[in-house]
Amino acid sequence: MNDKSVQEPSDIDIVQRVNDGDTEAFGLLVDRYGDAVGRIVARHVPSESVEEVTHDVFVSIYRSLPTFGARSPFGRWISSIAVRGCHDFWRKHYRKREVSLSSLTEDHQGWLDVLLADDSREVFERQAAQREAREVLEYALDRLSADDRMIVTLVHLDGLSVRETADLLGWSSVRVKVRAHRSRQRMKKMIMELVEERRKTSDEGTS
Amino acid sequence: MKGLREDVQRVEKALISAYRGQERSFEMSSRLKAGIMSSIGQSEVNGGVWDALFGRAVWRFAAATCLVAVVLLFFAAHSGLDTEYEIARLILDDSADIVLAQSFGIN
Repeated sequence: MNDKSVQEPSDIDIVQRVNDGDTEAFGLLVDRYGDAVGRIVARHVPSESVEEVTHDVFVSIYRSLPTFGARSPFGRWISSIAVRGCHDFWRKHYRKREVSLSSLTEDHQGWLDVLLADDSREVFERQAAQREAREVLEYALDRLSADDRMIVTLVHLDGLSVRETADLLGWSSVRVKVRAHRSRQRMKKMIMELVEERRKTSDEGTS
Repeated sequence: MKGLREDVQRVEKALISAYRGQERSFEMSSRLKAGIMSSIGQSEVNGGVWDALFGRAVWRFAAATCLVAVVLLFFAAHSGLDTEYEIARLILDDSADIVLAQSFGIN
């Protein structure tokens, strides 16, 4: 007999135990899925909020366990709660945001200048690996709504399909498709403004 | 100078590459796990009784309540029930011989 199968209960068994009142059994799910949930959260929220959001996601998972119908794999079900937790984080964050949005500094303008001045692959890779690249991305994402931000991150940055995104967010595929198109246009418009501004500045410098 | 479209595409690709190249390791710490277990223990204490009494029971009866409301609506619509008239009739006819109307100053 396989010892491992005796020692390790299945996800469904643990869910059953928790639903029957064995709260401590939930710890087994935290051990099993803690890292995976944390990695999903870390992809979507700022590093200083990862622990807080992961905590809230697990509390949501615990509260939603009675509704788990085993129609989809448990891991996928947990992932969708984690993604929705991140979405909730941004909704709350945007609602209480009072301070003005961050603006681009000379470092960011410089990063853009170097990236666009040279077409080589080497420069592209070097610039993409720099901190400024992530900050420019954050600058752009910050100017989108919470819904658009999640869609841009899941569809355009993570590269998930419309259907996968719809499953994770609990939206219809049509809604995801429409949102994905609009949010990408908004991102493009923002980047275009940055590039135009940079061109204007360099034109003024040369004349 | 390159076209605006090429520049926008290059910046867009660089941002996507920056996102995908980001280091995002995470390890569940024992402190965080303890926090989660403590929170669910508290929610069990605070919300357990409420949930047991109202949480599921309310939703279980929701369908039946909606059904009763629809049946009553159909009944009211098809029986020619006029609420104001029915109330007035109840007060003025006073089948129990108690002159309710007088208590309101109506003779």
